[in-house]
Parts: sequence; structure tokens; C-alpha cells
Amino acid sequence: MALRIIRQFLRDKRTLALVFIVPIVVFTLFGILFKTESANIRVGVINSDKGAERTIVEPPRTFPPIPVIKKVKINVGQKFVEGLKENGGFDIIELAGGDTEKVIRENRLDGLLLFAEDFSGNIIDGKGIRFGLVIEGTSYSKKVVLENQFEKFFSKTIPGLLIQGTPLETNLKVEIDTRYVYGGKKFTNIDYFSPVFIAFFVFFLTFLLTIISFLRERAYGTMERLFASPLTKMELILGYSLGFSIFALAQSALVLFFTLYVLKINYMGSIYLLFALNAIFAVGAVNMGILLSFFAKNELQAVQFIPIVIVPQVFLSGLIWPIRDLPGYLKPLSYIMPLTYASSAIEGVMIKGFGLGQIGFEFVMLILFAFLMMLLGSLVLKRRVA
Amino acid sequence: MVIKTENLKKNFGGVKALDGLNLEIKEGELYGLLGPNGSGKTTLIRIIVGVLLPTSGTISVMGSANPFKKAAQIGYMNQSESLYIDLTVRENISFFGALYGVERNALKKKITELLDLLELSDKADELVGNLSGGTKKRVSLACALAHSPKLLLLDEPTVGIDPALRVSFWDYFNRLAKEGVTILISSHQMDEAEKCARLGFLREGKLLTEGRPGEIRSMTGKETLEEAFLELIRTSGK
Repeated sequence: MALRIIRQFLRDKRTLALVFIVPIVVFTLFGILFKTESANIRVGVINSDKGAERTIVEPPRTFPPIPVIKKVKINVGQKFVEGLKENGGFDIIELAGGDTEKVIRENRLDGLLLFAEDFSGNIIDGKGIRFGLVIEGTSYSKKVVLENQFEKFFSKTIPGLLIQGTPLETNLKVEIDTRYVYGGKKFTNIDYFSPVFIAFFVFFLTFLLTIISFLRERAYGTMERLFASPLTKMELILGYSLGFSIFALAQSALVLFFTLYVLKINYMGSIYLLFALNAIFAVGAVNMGILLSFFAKNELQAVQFIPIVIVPQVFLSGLIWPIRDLPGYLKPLSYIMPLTYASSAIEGVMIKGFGLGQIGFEFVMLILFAFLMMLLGSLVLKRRVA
Repeated sequence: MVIKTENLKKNFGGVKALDGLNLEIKEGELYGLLGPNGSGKTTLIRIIVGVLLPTSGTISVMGSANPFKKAAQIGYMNQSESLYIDLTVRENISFFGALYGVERNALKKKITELLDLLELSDKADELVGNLSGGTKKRVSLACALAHSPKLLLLDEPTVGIDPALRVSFWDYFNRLAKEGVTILISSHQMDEAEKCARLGFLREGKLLTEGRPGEIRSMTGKETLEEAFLELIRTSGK
């Protein structure tokens, strides 16, 4: 029995490759990705702090002991920037002012600190440490870090800030005026993960269903019958696309309904646009299934496409690790993966509230993907085989 | 001629499946293609139906070199059952009928007629996956007939069918032939070959001999077609 199984495995070169090569590839990816996970958070600082004067009473060093009263101009904002640069754990970029959203976009920031003109003044006057924080809000983990790190950092740093030997007031309240470019405070983990997972499910299941059912057409001989009929190749491809896309849409409708109304996840943007995106993506997945079914002899080999086609996309499409944080040599891979564009577009709609105009590029890429797959599928699909 | 092939050759790798085959089938003829396994019967039928390209030689189906152009008038039943096992009998026939563009009401009538003829009426709404091999064969035949084709290509249609039903199959084929339908049937069962108007013996991709059943018997001086065929194989080997 065992011998028979070994013999069968050795005969099926592809399974053999899968068993031994794929785990190595997957773990290599894992290794790379887990190492890069600690990529720094980019925080911009617009320091408009004008500084403030503080009266310092120096202990008398003269005789007769007359305390020396000095007025010292200090800029606490500047000190904080320096402190953050040294040990804040962020990549700090000092920037001139401007429209905050634009600054964030142009500098690809995760967050932006704003020290107002009276930043030092407020501290000197004991009113508190007041500053603005704008969170980009695309990545949930970064959002959480930004929401929590600064309060700690500021209250920890204050006692250490000496101004000409005199510590600053320590009982200052930290007041952060937090704003969000995308999403918001109430957006939690699930709000961030559900959009990309909706895309992923549509893709994965549609692809799998198509490749299996196309293989079955061939295995049961119905494909030959279809090809003997007046049905054209294009009709076959379009029929398949339509049938499975309807299913994929029903599925994403259910998932959307469930996530929006049962799990009550937060979202912005248009549901219809979301639907359209899913539909296009499903058509792409159907045609990819048709295409790849020609490279699989049986259902086992079709299932083997999962680690090859699906797994890298999970790792590299920004589903788990943001593409921006990937090492440079992996990025080109990300940009050829359809899931990258689908999840970016769906995320754009759900978290950023984007309209069609703002996800135009992704939209076009998904249409191109569907067309490319359809074209390749129709090229490998041969009515009359030689 | 409904079917005409000239010097038809087909190689699969180094294997010669068809080796210079010349065949002519007239309209309304019930032609039986006989031969052992691997003699090229299925290859020939697949080339005629248009899913396989010949390596060399010419072919004409109803006057066209590309059988696909005549696809709407051809009925094809391949060797495997070729049905959707998760659809019912009725749904399968209806799907293939619709594929050939049969109008809905006409199709409904035709399905009832076929179910009746092939004794499938009581199984019409059962899933094909739950049916026995012989029943599936009948459903498969019904699918090939749903659009009332002018040319019927049947690759071993009677395998796995019980004798009583086989008789009614052949009666039906004869009736269709009288109505002007051209039928090409492959088989390796000699006993049913008697029912054909003309027979062709295929061996190693070549047409060994051709003729009416009576002619072939008298040619070899044998009592049955089976013996005649064995005799032909023996003499051809020399």
C-alpha cells in the first residue's frame, strides 16, 4: 500500500514538486515578510512652535546672594522633535506647513504631528501639552500605534526635558487633537480586514469553482459535446463568466450584508461601486480558472494551484503586510497580482470613501486583468485539437 | 455525399491512429463502423464531428471542410456519457437542445417524445448522477437527438444497454435513416452490425473492407459477421 502510494507520487512530478518546493517557497516568503514587519512608521512633523519665554531663577552664586532672574527663550516643540528623532521609534520627517492631507499624501506619511505656534506657551503656562495629530488611517496596526504611542512618549519625555538645568513642569496634561484622513477612531480591526477579505473570497472561490467545473467538463466528456455543438468559443467563455459571476456576486452580496448589518462594520463609500468591483474581479477569476484548467489534468492538480496562485497573493497583495513595507525586490511581484488592485480598490471605497474617480487606476487594472485572462483563456481553449 | 474523406491520416505522437482512410457515406445511410479497440473508430468520428484535426488528408461533411460550420445539423454522442451529473435527465436534454438553438416549445415537445421513446419518462426528473450506466447511455442519446440532427454520429451507443432496449434502439435508428437522417455508428459488437445498411471494417487506421452485411459474409464464405471479420483479419495479415 505504502509502496503503491510512493510509486504514484514519484510518477506525478507536479505533486512531487508541490510537496517539496512549495513549502520552501512559502516559508522563504514568511521569513522575508516577518522580518520586514517592523518597518518604521513614517511620521511627519510640522513645527510651527514660536517658542516662549520662561523666567528662570538661578540660585545665587554671588555674594551677597542675589538670585539671578533670567528670561530664557525656549522652543519645546523643537526639543520634542529632537527627542522623537532619537528614541521615538518612528521615522521623523520635518516638514514645512501646508494642507495636511496633501502633505501626508505627498510624503507617504502614516501620521502627522502638528505643533501650533503657542505649543511652548501652553506648556510654560501650565495649560498642558496640546498638539494636533493627523492619522492617515489606512493601516489598522499603524493607526493603533499612533493613537497610543504619543501620549506615552510625551508624558515620559517631559520630566527629562531640562531647560538650562531646570526641569519643566511635570504635571501637564497631554491633550491630543486627533484627526483622521481615512477611517476614524471607531474603525476597528474588522473594519480594516473585511474589505480585503471580501475581495479575497470572491477571487478564491470563483477561481476554484471554475477550474474544478471546467475540469469536470473535460473529464465527463461534456466539453467535447459542447465543442461539437454550434456554441462558439466566445459564447462558452462569456457564458461561464456570466454564470459564475452571478454566483460570485450573490456571494459578495451575502458577505457584504453580513459584515455590514450583522457584524456592523464601519464603511464609507458606495455599495454599488463595491459591487461593480467585485463583479469585474469575479469575471477575471472565472477566466483565470478557465485558463489554468488547461494546465491541470485532474482535480488534484487543480487544487495544487491554490498554493501557487492563491498563497503568494495573500502574502504580497497587501492583504496582511502593506505593500509599501515589502522589500523592494518583492514589490514588482505585488504589482502583477490582481488581488493587489482589487483589495486596494475595495479598501479605497470602504475605508477611504473613494469614488470611481479615485480608484480609476485599480478599476482599469481589474478590467485589464479580466480581459487578459479572457484572451489567454480563449487562446488555449481549442475547439479543434491537433 | 454527406461524409467524404480522402487519404485521411492522423498521428498521435508516433502512433498512426488513421492511416490513409477513404470513406464515403450517402444521405440516409445507416453505416456501421466496425473494428477492434484502438482501430481508429473514435478518432475518425471525432475528426468528422470537428473536435479533432487530421494530420493530413481531406474531409468534407455535408459539403463543408470545416465540420463546425454544419454543427447545428450534427448530433454527436461520444463514448463517455458526457452528461451533467448534477442536472436531471430533462435538464440535460433541455440544455443540449437549447445549445443547438431549438425553440422552447418545440424543445419541450421533442423532450417528451424522446423520453417516451427511450423509456425514460419515469426518470425524467431524477439526477443523472443517480442513474445506472445503461440509463445514462439512453439519456446521452436523447441529448444527441434533441435538435433533430440530419447527421448522427454515435460512438458505441449500445455498450452497456440491455438486449431488449438494444433492439428498439436499432429499430429507431433504421426509422431515422428512412426519414433521411444519415447515421454513422461505431461498434465492436458484430451481432448488431447486421442491422446496418453498410459496414466498414476498420483495422489499424485503414478500411479493411466495405459492403452490405450479406456481401461481406458471402465474400469470406462465413456464416456470421464475427467469423467473417476474423477471417478478414487473418487474410489481411498475410
